[in-house]
Amino acid sequence: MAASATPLILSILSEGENYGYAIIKRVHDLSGGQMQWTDGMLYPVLHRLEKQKLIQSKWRESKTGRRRKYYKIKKTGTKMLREQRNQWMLVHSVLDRLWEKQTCLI
Amino acid sequence: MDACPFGPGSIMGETNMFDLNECIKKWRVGLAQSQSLGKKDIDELEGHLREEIDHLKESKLSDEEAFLVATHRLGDSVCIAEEYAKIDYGHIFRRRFFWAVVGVLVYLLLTYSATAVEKICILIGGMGGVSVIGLWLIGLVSRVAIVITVFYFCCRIYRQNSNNCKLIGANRFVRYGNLMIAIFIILFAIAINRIIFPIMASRILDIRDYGLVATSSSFAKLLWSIFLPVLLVVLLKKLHKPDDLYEVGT
Repeated sequence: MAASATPLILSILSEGENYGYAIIKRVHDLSGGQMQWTDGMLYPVLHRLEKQKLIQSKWRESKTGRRRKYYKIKKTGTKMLREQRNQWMLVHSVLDRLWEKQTCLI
Repeated sequence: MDACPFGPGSIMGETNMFDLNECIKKWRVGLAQSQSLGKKDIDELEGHLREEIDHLKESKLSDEEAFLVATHRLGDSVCIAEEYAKIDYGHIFRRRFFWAVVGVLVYLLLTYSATAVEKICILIGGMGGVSVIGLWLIGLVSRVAIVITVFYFCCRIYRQNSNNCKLIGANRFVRYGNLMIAIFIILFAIAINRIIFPIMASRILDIRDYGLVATSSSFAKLLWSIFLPVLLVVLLKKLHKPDDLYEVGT
């Protein structure tokens, strides 16, 4: 799974509590259908994040009566997200400058 | 590759009563075989699968088509299991260790209890004035009776196919309670075997007769040491098989 999975999931969870299926659909919607993950691969990532104590989970019964595992971001998760965001922005700005230079040369 | 016998497209075009729950059950079996997923993990994935199937059925797909598309989107069971295994869940090892400990405890419990019962029978016989040969026979017969009883109960448990958790205790408190009881019985049996019996037997029998009676015990113990571990291994293997993982949710 891509390295972007962690910040993506953490960002989605920072919007509020959510469950697996909805998280995948959100990624799909946000990317306009461009990002298609193999659905099953999301869950090991979620469990790894839970093991790293970045998120926590709770089984709950939905309105339809179906039992779902809801995930919520923890303070450590929010902190990690902030750090990763800063890293991404840094990399993004450096690459931007490089590519700008390259397009000028072209 | 499809684990479901109700595959797509029958030859003569007859309707092949597609059973969604049956197919999902088989899909669960496929996931459970890797042993890197627990029941709750499989429940979670099944929940996802069902939501996807419901979503696809809204787009007018049949049960069968929805199932195939949903399982395809979810991904290959083997790959999923591999990813779960990488997370290095301690609980899988803890579970195996736990069942190994249960097995050892049960072995100790049964062995010491059996010896204690045998010795009590011999004491009663001795106090009733039974001859030495009679006591020898009592020892042997009581052992055989215990073996048959244990075997009978093990067969019942085996056939009942009951949830392994129900046997040791449905919740943590019951389990600890059962553990305390088991340890108490073991200690009590040891007390009978090592303390009470020698003291009382020395009053009833002289040393030679005691030795004679003990030979039946030794012979029985040899058979017991072979029979019981085999029986327990077979039984625990059957109980450890995650049958309860195959239950289909809503």
